[in-house]
Amino acid sequence: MSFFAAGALWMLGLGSVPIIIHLLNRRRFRVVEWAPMRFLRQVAELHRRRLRLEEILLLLIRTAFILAVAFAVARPAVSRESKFFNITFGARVSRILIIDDSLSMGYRVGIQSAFDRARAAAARLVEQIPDDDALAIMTTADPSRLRFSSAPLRDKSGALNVIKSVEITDAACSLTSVLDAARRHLAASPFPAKEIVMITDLRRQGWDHGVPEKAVELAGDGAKLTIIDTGADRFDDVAIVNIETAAPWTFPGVPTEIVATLRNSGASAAEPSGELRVGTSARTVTLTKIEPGETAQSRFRITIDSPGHAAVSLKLTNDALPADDVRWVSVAVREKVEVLLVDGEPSNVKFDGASDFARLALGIGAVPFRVTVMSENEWLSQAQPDADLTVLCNVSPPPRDRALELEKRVRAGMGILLFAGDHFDPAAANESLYRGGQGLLPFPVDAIREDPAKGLTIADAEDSPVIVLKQLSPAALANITTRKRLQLGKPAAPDARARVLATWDGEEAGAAIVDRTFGFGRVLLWTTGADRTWSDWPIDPTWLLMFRDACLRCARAPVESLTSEAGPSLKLQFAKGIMADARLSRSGESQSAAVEARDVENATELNAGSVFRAGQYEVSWRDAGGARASRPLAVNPAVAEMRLDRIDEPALRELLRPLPVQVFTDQQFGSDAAASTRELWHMLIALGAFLFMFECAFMVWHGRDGS
Amino acid sequence: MFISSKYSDPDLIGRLRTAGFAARWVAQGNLVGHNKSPYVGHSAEFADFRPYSPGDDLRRLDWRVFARTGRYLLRRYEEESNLRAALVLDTSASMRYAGNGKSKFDHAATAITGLATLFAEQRDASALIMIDVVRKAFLPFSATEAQLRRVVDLLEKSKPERETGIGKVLQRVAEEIPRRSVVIIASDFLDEDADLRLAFQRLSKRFDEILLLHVLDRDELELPQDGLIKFRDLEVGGELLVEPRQIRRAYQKAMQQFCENTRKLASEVSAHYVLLRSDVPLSTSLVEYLHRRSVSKGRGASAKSIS
Repeated sequence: MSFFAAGALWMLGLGSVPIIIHLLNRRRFRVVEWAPMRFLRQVAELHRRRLRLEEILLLLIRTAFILAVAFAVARPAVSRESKFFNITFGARVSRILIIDDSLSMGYRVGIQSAFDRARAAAARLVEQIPDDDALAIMTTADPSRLRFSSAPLRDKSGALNVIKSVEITDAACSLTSVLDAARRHLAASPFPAKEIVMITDLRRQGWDHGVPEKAVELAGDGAKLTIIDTGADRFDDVAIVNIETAAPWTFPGVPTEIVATLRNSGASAAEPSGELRVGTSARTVTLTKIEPGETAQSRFRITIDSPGHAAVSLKLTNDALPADDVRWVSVAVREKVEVLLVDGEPSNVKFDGASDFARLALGIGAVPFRVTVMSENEWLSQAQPDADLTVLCNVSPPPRDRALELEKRVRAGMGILLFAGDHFDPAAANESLYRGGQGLLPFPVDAIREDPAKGLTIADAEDSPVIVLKQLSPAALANITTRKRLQLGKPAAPDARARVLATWDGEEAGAAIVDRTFGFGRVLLWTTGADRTWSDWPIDPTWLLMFRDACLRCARAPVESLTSEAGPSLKLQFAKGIMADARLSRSGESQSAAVEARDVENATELNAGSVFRAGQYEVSWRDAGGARASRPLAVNPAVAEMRLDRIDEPALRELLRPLPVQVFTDQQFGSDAAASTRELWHMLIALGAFLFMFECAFMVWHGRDGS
Repeated sequence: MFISSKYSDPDLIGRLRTAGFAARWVAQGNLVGHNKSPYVGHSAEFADFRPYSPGDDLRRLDWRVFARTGRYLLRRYEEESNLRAALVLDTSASMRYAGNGKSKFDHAATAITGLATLFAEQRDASALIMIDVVRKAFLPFSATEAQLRRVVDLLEKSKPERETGIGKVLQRVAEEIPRRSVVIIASDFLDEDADLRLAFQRLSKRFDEILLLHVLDRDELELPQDGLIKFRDLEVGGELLVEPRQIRRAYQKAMQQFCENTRKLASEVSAHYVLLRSDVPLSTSLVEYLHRRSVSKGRGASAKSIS
């Protein structure tokens, strides 16, 4: 037996108080001279035995009451190995030990992190678990995998080695899946008594909505949960929660902006500094001041000289949680953007053709658009070039086969911008391009309206290709006019992908710009033209600005997703092709792991499995020609784990109701094997209460006029 | 007739005077009193005639009857005599117990003084015998006022001490008291049952009327004390540490049984039994008894009914 508050054991000495009081009282008596002593002696002799027994019993009750209370205060715990435990509480236990190895466990107080303390607590637990019990060990980051399992636990050193080998990850954890996995493991375990011991920092993150359901299931299985809390109540942390390029494309030699988002979870304002690394070159940067509890963005301009993929990272000066002080992004550097301009009404007169303003817009600035201009006839008669973006200006709706080919290209990632014009026949467009909602057009076209409209209102749409218009002043948009425009109809069926991005001002004036994602590509339709036939907007600077930005945002995006988060399942998509002997290695490490490649729709997917450590990786493969190709891969720490607010014990109990839950701090656990023992204070308090009531009742009975 | 003393209670004496104490059996005293004597003699109250026998006193011949009938008949008169009451007082140490300021001895002595005063006023002879483990004092029978004074003086000078042996002592004392006396014994009767029984039986054979005044304190009957108490025997000095509350009811039962046994014993020997509780005034307990006694008849029956 051991005690959580051994300091209170001095109270056991109080158990002698009733005896002392009794003995003192025996010395405090009155002397009375008495005549009928014969009868007194006779009666006393007759009842002496009973009275003595009653007195002893009363003394025992009082002493036991004080001892019970004193013991309860000292919080005794009985080892599950002890005979007492087995006789009193029964049986062998199937126990699963869950070590929280998520990112937040790296938070340090002093020299020790919560994870260090968790490992120490886990080792103590294993040492004190009875050999007859069953033990399995798993971690929160990868609950599907048992690190250790032994029933009965004969190989304690094996379990200790496993604990020693467990390392902290940069991944998040979901307690729903953890508890679910624990339940499955326990269901297969041999002993009926089931216990989950979870060593965690009790951050609110992870205790998600599925937990209550799992708690009910576990309670139904008769399991109980012991939580050993190694987390710190107060924390002070600045985390990089995101790093990305501001523009959708990065081009060689063209300055691009990197946006870093930082969150200050501490109690005081922070003005962090750090190191921005692009490839192999690094520079020190000072970031925006962040108020407590706030999120702030810092922007840095970088220039990457060569096309391909560049690894960019930002690393802050380490604080208590170093894992969230660094973040990487793999930047795709595109040499050029291939744009096909199809002109429905070409002209030799400057700015008289339907695509002249578009060509002008793409020709200015540093972005390397490579523009191919084709007339409508050429476009229909020749094979379509492989463009990142096709712009159709006042083009007649293509025939069905060409429309299907166009759909295939868009589905594969190409962007398409459509401008209306006199050649745009609504009926033909509905037939070839809308196709009852199956085609490229977001909405059907009802008619061409010839009443003028003035002013634009820009909708708040997420990831809008014309979001740049939102950044302009309303006055600039109010002057935009059109003389003719397409009247769009209602979709054949509700389609969440079809959106209205801008509308003409005025009652029932209709949509101005609509879009729709289509496979990996995107379709953007203006209800007015790209020349001055229908509208003077193309000569307005806002049009040039909008058009260039929309081209960049709608052009084919790289299929590769080379920035990811650490977790149990890392999947990467690449342009469809042969990817043999794919391997994944961490920068600076010689070892590499095989990666499974398989074809999915329009892409080849590499399944790297579980990657729990953040950092810069490289994925490599052999292409169709047998040459070795590679890409840098940025695996970032899990953002969700950077929220360090804690879940308090009442909330935890409420969340886990009706599962029996015991919560200890690791300090408490340090003084005793809480999980391998059972606390007895509740039992002692109940015993004390019973003794107290019994003493009262007995006193009433004992205090009667003796018969 | 009233002699002021520590044990004289005018109220009690007044009430006793009203109740009176007449012998329930003919008295056999030396002096002329208001009790009937078993002897026929010279008193004024005519009894009957008897034939003359030679040698009879010719002065007692009824000449008028001789003149009318010619027969020689002697007149016989009932001789009136005084009552002889032997007042026996237990002066053993157990009588010293004073539960409420007044000891059992005081209570008994007050009763004895009252009765002695009553007897003196009735010109009845009384004797006072004090006993403990031996016969401690003896005042012979006398019906004078001086006797009352001697009784009072002796009571005042007496202190309850030594062990009790009332059973055995009474057996011896009985021989010293003339027959046909009324024996009044005031005691707590805390003695061996066998000795008491033997003593009462002997008294019963020798005396016509025995009155047992059982003097007990309220505390002795009820054991009302609280807390832990060391009881010390008043006579032999033994001690007993006990919490009265724990045995109170059993003790009360035992004392009730004791009183009942004494009463039964008294009944068996046709003695009268009166319980004189120290918390009940004698003017109530003793006087009530005397009132009941005066209206009842018969020796054996009266013993039960009166007590």
